[in-house]
Amino acid sequence: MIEESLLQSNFLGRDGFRWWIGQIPPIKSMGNQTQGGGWGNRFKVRIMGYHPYNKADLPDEDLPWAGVLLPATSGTGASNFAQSVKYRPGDVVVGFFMDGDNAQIPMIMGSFGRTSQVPQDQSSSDYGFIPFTGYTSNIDVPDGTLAPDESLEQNANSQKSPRTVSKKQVDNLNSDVTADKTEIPASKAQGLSEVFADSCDDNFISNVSSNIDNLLLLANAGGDILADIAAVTKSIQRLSNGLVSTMTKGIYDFFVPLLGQALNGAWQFFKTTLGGGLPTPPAVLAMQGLIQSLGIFEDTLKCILPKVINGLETTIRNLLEDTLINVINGGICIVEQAAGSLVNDIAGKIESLLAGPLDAISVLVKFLGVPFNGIKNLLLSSQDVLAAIGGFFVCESEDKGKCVGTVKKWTIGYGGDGEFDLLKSYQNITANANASSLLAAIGVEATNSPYTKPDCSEPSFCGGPTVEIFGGDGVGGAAKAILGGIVNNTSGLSDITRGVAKTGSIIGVQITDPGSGYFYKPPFIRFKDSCGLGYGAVGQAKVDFNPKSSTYGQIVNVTMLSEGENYPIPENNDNGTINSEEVTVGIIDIDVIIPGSGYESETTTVTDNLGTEYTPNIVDGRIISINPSDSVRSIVKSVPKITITSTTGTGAFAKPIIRELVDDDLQGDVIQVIDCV
Amino acid sequence: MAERQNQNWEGRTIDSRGPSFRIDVANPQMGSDGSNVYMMYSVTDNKDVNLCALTQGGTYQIHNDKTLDITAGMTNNEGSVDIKISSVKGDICITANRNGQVKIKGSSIVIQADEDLDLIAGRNININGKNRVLIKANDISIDGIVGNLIENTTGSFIQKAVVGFEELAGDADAVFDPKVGLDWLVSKGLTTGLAVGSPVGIAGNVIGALL
Repeated sequence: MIEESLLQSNFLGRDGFRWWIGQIPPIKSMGNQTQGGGWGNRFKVRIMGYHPYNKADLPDEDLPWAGVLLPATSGTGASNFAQSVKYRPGDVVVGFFMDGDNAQIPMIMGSFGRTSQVPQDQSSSDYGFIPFTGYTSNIDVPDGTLAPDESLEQNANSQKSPRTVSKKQVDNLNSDVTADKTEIPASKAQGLSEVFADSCDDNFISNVSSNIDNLLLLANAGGDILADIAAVTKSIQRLSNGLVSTMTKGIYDFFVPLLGQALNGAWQFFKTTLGGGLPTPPAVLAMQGLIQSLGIFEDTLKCILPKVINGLETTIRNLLEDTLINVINGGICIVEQAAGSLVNDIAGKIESLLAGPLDAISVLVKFLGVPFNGIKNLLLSSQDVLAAIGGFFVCESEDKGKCVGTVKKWTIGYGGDGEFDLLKSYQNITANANASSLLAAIGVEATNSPYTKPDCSEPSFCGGPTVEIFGGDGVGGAAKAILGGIVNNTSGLSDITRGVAKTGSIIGVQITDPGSGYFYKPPFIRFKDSCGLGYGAVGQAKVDFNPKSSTYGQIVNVTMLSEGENYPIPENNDNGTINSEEVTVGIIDIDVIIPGSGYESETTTVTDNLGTEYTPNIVDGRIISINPSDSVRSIVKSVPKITITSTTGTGAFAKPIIRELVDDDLQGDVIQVIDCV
Repeated sequence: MAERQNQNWEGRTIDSRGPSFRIDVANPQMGSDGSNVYMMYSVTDNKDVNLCALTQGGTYQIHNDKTLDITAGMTNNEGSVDIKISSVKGDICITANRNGQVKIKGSSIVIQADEDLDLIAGRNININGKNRVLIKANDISIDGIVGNLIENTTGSFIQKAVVGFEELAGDADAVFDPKVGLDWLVSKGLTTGLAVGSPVGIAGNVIGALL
């Protein structure tokens, strides 16, 4: 030994460089090293060929410590440059002995990545070198927040991250019997909606809609549903303030123009019946009392708001519980039914509170000159009594731009939405409220639920995606989604996909009505399908702002920022969508998003990924347009990519404009077909 | 459901630092606003999530299951700008959902609008100036149903009601004052005078007898 030692140079590599492969044993064998009291970066290691397989022969605790070499990018700790070593128990590591053949000072240089085939069992208490999990009592297996995974591979299933889609859409993804069911929603807030402050329109309906939709989503996601019901009850109760105030004003507005005439009538009536046509003391007293009663009626109206609101809690809570029991999907028709029931209840409460004061002025009511069938009927007779629609204090001539083209509602993670058809909604609410009232009046209690159509938001079939154009300072606009990247759904999913055989992405948008009047504010684009299966398609409207152009103020294109996926492909190529598998679609133009700088015609080429070349129009080094050849059209079935190559210019960015190709487009010399793989 | 084909996994970089934190770059899996350019995802021991992500749709998302605490300016000078939030082209929307309140407090608060400033409340708007409330404009209007401001301007519900009653028009206040009401009626020649009692009660009896 001594001789051997004398013969050694004790210089790394000169006395032999011994590689080894070993396994890091269970964490408990490393004692305080991993509990905050460690020295250096060290791990016990059981080295193949050096250490026995059987732990009875060499317990984990007696294994040698191996130091860890750090990569150049991690820092060493000097001047606070540091990255933690991430080896886990069970990892198979590779290294060398600092002391060569003495093999007493192992160093870890790297590790073998784990694959999904590596067992994730607990470590064996008897034998080493058996693969086992890296999770320990201190590093818990994630449950519901991340897919447990102990692999690091170059495939789509390794280290999957939570998905930034709603819980409902995650459930749809996990319903695929052929897929790895490990999709987890990244945020519980995803898919919840909120209504922005709005000075232009009454947003009671959209606020209630948001509350009910969110409640349904939260119920589906789990959690403390009773707390959610309590909070939403309070929220709708508060929202009802405006509704009750508006209804109260409706009562004032009904009576005010009629009361003068009614007072005259009553005065004549008292004089005739109590004074022989003269203002005798009894007639005057009666009249004075009547007016005094009118004052009491006014006082009661003034105080009606808190009394009605305070009495609404049970009504709203019952309504929400009914919603959770009977309704699967939210939506405007659900809200209209719920609001109808609520309005009916509020109208009943107001009528009840006003019964006494109204009785005291019953003489006046006789002389109103118009039919009056009670407060409740008055309140339910017109949607105008329910809604404070329209801006206030705004002169006709004033710019109402603040009320036009704004995002009214936001779905978290998905973006903005337009506005409801308020008039239609209030008509439906009134109809629903009247129906509730009528049923109650004739003693029909067929169901305790306010929902006569709880499944009204359930589509009978899943149609293709629609292109919703809303907002902006103009009017109109319509478009069809061009569907590509089509994939077949797996069989056996009819419950989830409602028979949708194929799904796809939105690779383009074909404008069918360019709208008009978009002079400074382009509209917003939103893609929706009736079943809510698709997600991720994002489009941005492009408007012609050139006053000298023939298309000034019109929508000229929709730039696709993301094509999305899982949008249902209709069985037949209906009028709402364009299926690239059934209709020939291709690149008809190139939209220059960013013109860049420094470009020269001689050194700039523009191609798509099909190899088709385009001609850039360069002015002052900027690419102001890119023109397709007259004779070549690239036919596409998925999103193509435009590449701009230049030795001088930088920064330009362009996207293809995809349209349905007509005969004229297809009469070129060369047609290239691509199905991107 | 089937995800789209031809996903670009080549560019994906995952930096997963245990079950509680990861940075996922260029993951091609589709999200609600396009796939994520990157996502930072972290979870507390109580399963509360923090998510920061930039989507291909261009939205930068910050989601936090519990409180988002933004504080700035500890070492700034008094009067400096500690927090600046601005939008270049679009709206700034602050919404407290459900039953949350929006609270703004400062030594002074300036709300300036190039055009309109709208205050809307489902129930009450309270303006409480300990010293002065000044409303200044070229055109000042009010609209309401009851209240002392209304009674002295456009007329309250009851005032509007009696406008059409020729014999009491414009003097509704007198009618409602039980002490002067009868005298006022006398002055109008509507009665020769009666003992003042409870007009409502008397009238109620009279009306009751009539009906």
